[in-house]
Amino acid sequence: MYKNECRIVRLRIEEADLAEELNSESVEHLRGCRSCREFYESEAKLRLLVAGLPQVEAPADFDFRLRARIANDRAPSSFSLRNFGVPSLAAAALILLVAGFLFVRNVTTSPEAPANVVASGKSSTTKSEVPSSTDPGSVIPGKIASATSPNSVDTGTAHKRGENKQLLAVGRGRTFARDSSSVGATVVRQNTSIAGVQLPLIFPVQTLSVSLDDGSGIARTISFPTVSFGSERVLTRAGNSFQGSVKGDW
Amino acid sequence: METLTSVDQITFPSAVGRDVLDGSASDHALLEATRTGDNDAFAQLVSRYRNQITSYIYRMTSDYDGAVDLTQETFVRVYRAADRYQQSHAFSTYIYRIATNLAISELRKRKRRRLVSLTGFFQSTDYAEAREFNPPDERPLQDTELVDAERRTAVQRAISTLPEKYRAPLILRDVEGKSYDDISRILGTSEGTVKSRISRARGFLREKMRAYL
Repeated sequence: MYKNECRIVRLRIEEADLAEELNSESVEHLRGCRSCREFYESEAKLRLLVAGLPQVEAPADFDFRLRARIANDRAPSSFSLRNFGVPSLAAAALILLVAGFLFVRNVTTSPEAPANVVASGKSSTTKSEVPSSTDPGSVIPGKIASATSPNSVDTGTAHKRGENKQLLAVGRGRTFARDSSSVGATVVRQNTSIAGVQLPLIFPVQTLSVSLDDGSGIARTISFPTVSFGSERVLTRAGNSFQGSVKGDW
Repeated sequence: METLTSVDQITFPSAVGRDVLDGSASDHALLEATRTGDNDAFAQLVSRYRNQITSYIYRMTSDYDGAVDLTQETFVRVYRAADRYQQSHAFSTYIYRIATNLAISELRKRKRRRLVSLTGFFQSTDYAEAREFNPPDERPLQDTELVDAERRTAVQRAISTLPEKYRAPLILRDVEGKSYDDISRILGTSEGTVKSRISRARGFLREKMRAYL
């Protein structure tokens, strides 16, 4: 019968060395307990079997090979991509990829600088031909400039880049062609800040001229004819100056 | 340590007195001499441990060529780390620990690669699924040498079916004859864990070797 005493004795048997003699209590127990005696015998046989495994010896040229290995290990290593490790190579590949992408992007976008941008830059943008006279019907130049500015801000740098390329092309004696058929025209939007501008309804009997410069020195002037609906004559006759809103609120 | 370009250059004149190399010098003294550049002292250390380590790794991996290779790697690591060696434990514990780590690493590599050998074809890492490839021959044999050889083969095969966590302590205890304290230091576990694993390993072996007991 497997008792607590058996468990203790078997634990002692397991922990003891083969050559080591068990204590008298365990020996006494083994005499009376057949199960533990069988366990002891099988344990001793098993350990003898395992301990009886012969020692394997190293080959005769072990020392020589070891010396060669150590010498090889200490020799200066030749150049190898492995020396840099995977993270370094991955970082280099990433940098090359980003640089390549930026280069391709730069090449593909710069020649197609939109032609309409020319009309919105500072140096070559829309120039309102402002009449020098104090004609009340003349357009206020600053306000017009501010009205066109939101559109010209984001395209200004692109335009400059295109302009530089164009100058370079001219300098090299090459003709620079530009296809602006697929490029949309600049939308000149009214700014909210213009809402408070006082525009006299007594509009001048004078044409509005807008000069456009495409950056290559060729300027084009567009004149808008005056459109009259006759109301200004009525107001002039009444001698009143009417302040209206550009929003068209009457 | 200067750079070597030839195998022959590794043999330097002894920088330490002959008393270190006469065989009575402790392992620590030999390693200390190795640290100062005395390669004869290192050769002495190698000659002391090469068979033990080769045998131990062979019992762990059941592959002689691999065991020799790993034994060499063990000594290369000892040589390389001679400057960092601390004499807090016995040198044998230190070198067995390196060897154990290399052997376990190799076993795990094999497991990943599903590397199968002729002897390992029917063996499994899980003891419960292990099958007997070569059952004992019950017929009477005429030569006791053959009986012993077959028994040894069976024992080695049974050991190789043990999970690595049971295999290492069993070999260290029952084949190499290390103490529980040494084994716990080599394996980096507590003594209680070592005893428990050895007990389990013997239980597995007893089941496997029932026909021979």
